[in-house]
Amino acid sequence: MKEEEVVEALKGVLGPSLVESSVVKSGRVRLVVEPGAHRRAIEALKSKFGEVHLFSIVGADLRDRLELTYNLWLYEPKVHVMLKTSLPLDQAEVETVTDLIPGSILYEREVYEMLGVRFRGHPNLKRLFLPEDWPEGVYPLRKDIKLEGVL
Amino acid sequence: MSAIDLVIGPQHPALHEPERFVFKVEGETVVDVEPRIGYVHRGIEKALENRDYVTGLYLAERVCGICNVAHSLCFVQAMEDICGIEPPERAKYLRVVAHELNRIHSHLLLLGVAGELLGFMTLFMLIWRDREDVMDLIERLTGNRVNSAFNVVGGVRRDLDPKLAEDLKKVLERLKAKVKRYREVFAEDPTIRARTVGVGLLSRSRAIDLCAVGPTCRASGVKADVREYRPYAAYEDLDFKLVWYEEGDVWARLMARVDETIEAIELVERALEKMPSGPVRVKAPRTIPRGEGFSVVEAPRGDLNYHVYGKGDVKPDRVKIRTPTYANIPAVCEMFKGGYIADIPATLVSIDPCFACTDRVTLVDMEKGTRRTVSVTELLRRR
Amino acid sequence: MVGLPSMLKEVLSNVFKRPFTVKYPYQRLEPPDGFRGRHAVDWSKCIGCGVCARDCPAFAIELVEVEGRRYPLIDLAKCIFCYQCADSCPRGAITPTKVFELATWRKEDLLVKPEKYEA
Repeated sequence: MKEEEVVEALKGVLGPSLVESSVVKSGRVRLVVEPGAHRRAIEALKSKFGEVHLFSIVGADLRDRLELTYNLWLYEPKVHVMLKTSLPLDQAEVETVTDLIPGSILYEREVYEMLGVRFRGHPNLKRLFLPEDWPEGVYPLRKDIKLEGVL
Repeated sequence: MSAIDLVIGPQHPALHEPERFVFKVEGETVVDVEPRIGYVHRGIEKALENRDYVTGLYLAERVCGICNVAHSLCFVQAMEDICGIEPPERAKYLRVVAHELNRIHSHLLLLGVAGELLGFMTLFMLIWRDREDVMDLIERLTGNRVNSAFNVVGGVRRDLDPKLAEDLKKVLERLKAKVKRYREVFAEDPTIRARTVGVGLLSRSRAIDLCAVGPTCRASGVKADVREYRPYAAYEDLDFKLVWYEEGDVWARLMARVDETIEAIELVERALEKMPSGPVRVKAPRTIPRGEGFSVVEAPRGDLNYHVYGKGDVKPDRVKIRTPTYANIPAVCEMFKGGYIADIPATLVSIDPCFACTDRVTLVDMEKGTRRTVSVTELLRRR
Repeated sequence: MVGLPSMLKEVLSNVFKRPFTVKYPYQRLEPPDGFRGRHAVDWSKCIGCGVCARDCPAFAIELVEVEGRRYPLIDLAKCIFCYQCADSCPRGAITPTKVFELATWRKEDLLVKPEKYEA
């Protein structure tokens, strides 16, 4: 089955960096990798399975950690891969993927401005949606934020 | 010669939505561009964390007025994914009918607006007159012209009565003949071809790298349509044909939309023929269990996806919306470079920008030249 | 040389047709069945459960007390006419009408209220 092939290929490339892997349902694979290993995972998917489309980069505040999910679509085997890594709340930094997938340039800016995740190596890490007079350090999508009286 | 900065927006007659572009121009040629978006940012993702899915559905639908059926369908499918509910068969076909009617009206809107921006006012008026027939059909089917509120978790809200099914077939047949006539105009009219052929080129490899979606990528040779590679609702049984072009210029993007309109009319006719009978709605539990749901649909502008986290409460934990125009912004920045200032409106309208979906985009081009604002009348004369 | 304009035939035929404009308010178009206009509440069916107020996305419904029983008070100024209240009502007490001409001079006219309700 195509989903199993994807899981096996990534197990081979990443080894112990692949923390969890499962086939959630037909056509969807869920992979959890250590922080910093997501670049190797995306490189492996691109080299083994051809063209890759990035659906979105989702950042979520799960109260004890921040979770980044890269939703990728592999055109050839027709499989949706949810690639997840967890980041600690106080030190949220991770490597950028804009050199591997140039279309992720605005998605990373949005995750930076809404959740405070810094992407090392991003060419233009600035705010995207919030107004210029929004105070620094206030990240709207974090759970512990108080938004009354900010602006 | 040194480059100057040309700022267009956020209010400008060439743009139908608020966004700011700063172009770096040398003479008449655009060299670089930087977007600045967010003028209609409403904080919807944060607001959806405070509402259960019954009330949140109406908020998600209002992200965009033109593609509201796509937003409500994607939200409903993501909730059904987490909760593990399967809607009945008749509901899936009715969802296809509403979704395709939405696509027809959105593409006709864009083709009229493209005509208006190119200066072809007659085409704009005639296409929008025909679009009124589609809006009347949507009003009879769902109760409202825009913000239809047709989909709910578990099915659809209303059924289709036989008189409306008859009228749908008659009106859509007349409309198909007219759209075929418009296809001839777009394909052969010498003025339209002079302004759109070879303008705003996007090559296939760049379209894939920049993750372009929708007719923007399909006009550059990328055969990607969610209804074909990841069918949802009833598209598997409806013999869907992909529309694609190779040229990658503004002309190909407009032609792709005209062809998709004709294909959408045929999909509605097939869905009406094959529609099974049965219930249109199943009861759904109000609690969202722990887990994640993901759903992707083909909105008129490209692929739209919702990613939902549940925490076992009636309210979701996190809802992430990625709209198609947001994905097309890096691609449109690429298309501006190397073109003339006079081609800016045509290139921008060819990606079908919907900045209400995107929450604003600005293009900014910065070089060390001077900043100079060009007045509105000067730009209108250049068109 | 550009050639004959492609839409010349349509343009000439439209010169001789009547305009499509409907001269509202002297001529009126009837809304279709199922149109979502002003609410009609059957007060005898209402049991005062409050589900309509809980499910309203715009927080436009409030339950008020009239003669010892609770009834909904719908504020049309806030309403988005989605009719989730009608879907949620366990007795089917709320139904849509075709009335859409709701503009008025006083905000009190925009409330759908029970018969003996005093503000």
